[in-house]
Amino acid sequence: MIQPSEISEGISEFLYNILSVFATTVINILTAPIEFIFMSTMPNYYQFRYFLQECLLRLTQVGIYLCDALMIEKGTILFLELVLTCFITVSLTSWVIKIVVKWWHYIVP
Amino acid sequence: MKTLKNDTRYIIKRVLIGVLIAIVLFNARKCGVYADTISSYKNFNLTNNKLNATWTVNTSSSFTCNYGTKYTFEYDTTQYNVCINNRNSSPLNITIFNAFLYNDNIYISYLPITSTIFNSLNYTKYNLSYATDNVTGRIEVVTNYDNNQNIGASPDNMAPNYQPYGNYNNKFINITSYPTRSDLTATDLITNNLYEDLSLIYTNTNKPVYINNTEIVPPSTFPPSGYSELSLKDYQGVVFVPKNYNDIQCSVVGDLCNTTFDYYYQEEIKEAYFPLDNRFNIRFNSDFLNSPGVPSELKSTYFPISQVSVNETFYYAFMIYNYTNDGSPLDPETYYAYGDAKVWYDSTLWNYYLVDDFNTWSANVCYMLDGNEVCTTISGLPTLKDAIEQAQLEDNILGTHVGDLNLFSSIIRFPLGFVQSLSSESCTAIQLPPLPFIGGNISLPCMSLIYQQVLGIYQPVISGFINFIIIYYLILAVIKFYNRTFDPSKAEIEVIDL
Repeated sequence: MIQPSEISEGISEFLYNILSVFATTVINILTAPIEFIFMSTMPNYYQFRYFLQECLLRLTQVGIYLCDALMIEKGTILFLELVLTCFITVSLTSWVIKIVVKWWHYIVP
Repeated sequence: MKTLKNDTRYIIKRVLIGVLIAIVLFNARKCGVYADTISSYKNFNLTNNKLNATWTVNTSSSFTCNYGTKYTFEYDTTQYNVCINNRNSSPLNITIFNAFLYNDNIYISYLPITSTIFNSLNYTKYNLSYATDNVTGRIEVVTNYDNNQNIGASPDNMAPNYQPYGNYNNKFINITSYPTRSDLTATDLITNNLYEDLSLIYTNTNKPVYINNTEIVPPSTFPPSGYSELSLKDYQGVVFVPKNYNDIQCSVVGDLCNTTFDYYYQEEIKEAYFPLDNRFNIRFNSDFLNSPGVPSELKSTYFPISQVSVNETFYYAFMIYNYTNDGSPLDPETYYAYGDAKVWYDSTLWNYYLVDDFNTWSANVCYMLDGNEVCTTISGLPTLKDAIEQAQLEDNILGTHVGDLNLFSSIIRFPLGFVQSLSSESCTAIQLPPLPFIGGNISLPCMSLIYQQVLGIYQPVISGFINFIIIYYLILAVIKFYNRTFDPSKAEIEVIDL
């Protein structure tokens, strides 16, 4: 018997995956040139990336700790997750559309 | 018309709020459930000087992954979930361990399981276990690397009782279930070189968490003619050079590339194969490789663990490819293949250690520097628990691993993974660095347990109130955002001047 919570979580996951994949794709495309330049010119690229990853990991650990300390439950975080994902994706989409429209007007006056 | 518009907006707004509240309420039903994480991973259980681990792989878990596919492992009847990142075919490597004791040393290895392997093979159950008793111990070896990734001794080189261990003709690593080999002892492993396939592997972190434990050279098949020593330590001077650099452009993240290499051993040149992927960085010094056909510039490519398959099969040829932190190469000697029974060493990001002391997680590390062997002891190696937790965290946060070339996008996407990891990870105590002049580590314990003890039955009430307030203001923020974005009074109307 499928529980309602499983259905809602499945929907959330589905939405989240779609949005995150979309956001990731867009971001990857936009940052690819910068990434390439850094990879080509930066001698310690991997070390630098590793350092940043470490920073992000530590930040997340602190975040998890704070959520625990502030009694923020998983459901709340899931909701925040959905809102944030929607916000990022809408912003990204809006941004991309604006760029495309401006570019189009520039090319085809 | 205006009324109709307002009515529509009103309905949309209410429906949106209703959906959001429904999602919150449904998700809130699972509040406080953090069991679906690997953070509760147990460390090695060495009780009674015995270590056993049985893993079962299935895909029926309800665990949700941010990226990739979920897999569940069972260890000591407890399930652990791992996300296998198969986006872009990137092989996210998870860690499964194997271990045994020998001469008071515990040898541990981690087995790489890539998404490719997971998705291409039918896993039912396999055991990675070893009783540490030197007499009655047994080990079920996971092996079956292909011809290009000869991680196990080939059937021809194995004792008859122990063969075959699998299909050596497959392209990818096969992992299947093995029959129990109760007759296999630790001594057998050592004397028959069967534990070589308990090799170092890694998580998707670049932490130095692996241990390589082997000195495996099949008898009389390597080195090339004229050299009969079995220790790889005697093979200093073996240098691998790709025949064609164009062949090693493994630019696609996650691709497993193969290319042909020549190896130099003094005056001899033999053909060798290196299975390539994106994990190991190697640089060739043109001054050293002063051979026709070798490019003059430094070349960089990535190597996996250096199991090398050649016509005359040999194993674990290993390269020291040190270069300094600024990327400049060290002396040519540092490119020598090197290794012995104790330690494999790789500089920079990738390190492999034999853990000598499990109390302090220390390892002796030796390497060649300017032609001299330099040995040092490294303590405080990350434990398996650390490694997996970090791997899991990293997967959740960044959705990537070191092989992915997404520095900036990873940072930009950080909020996505950050929030996701907040909901999927459980709290761990924060270790602060030692205080100056005082010493001693400070650990901030997770507060939820303390809350439970102090607040008792009032804890859910207080928690519910706090979360209600947060969600209330979140919904208000969403409504404000909606109104601000879709406010018709601020819509810009383009007037065409007729």
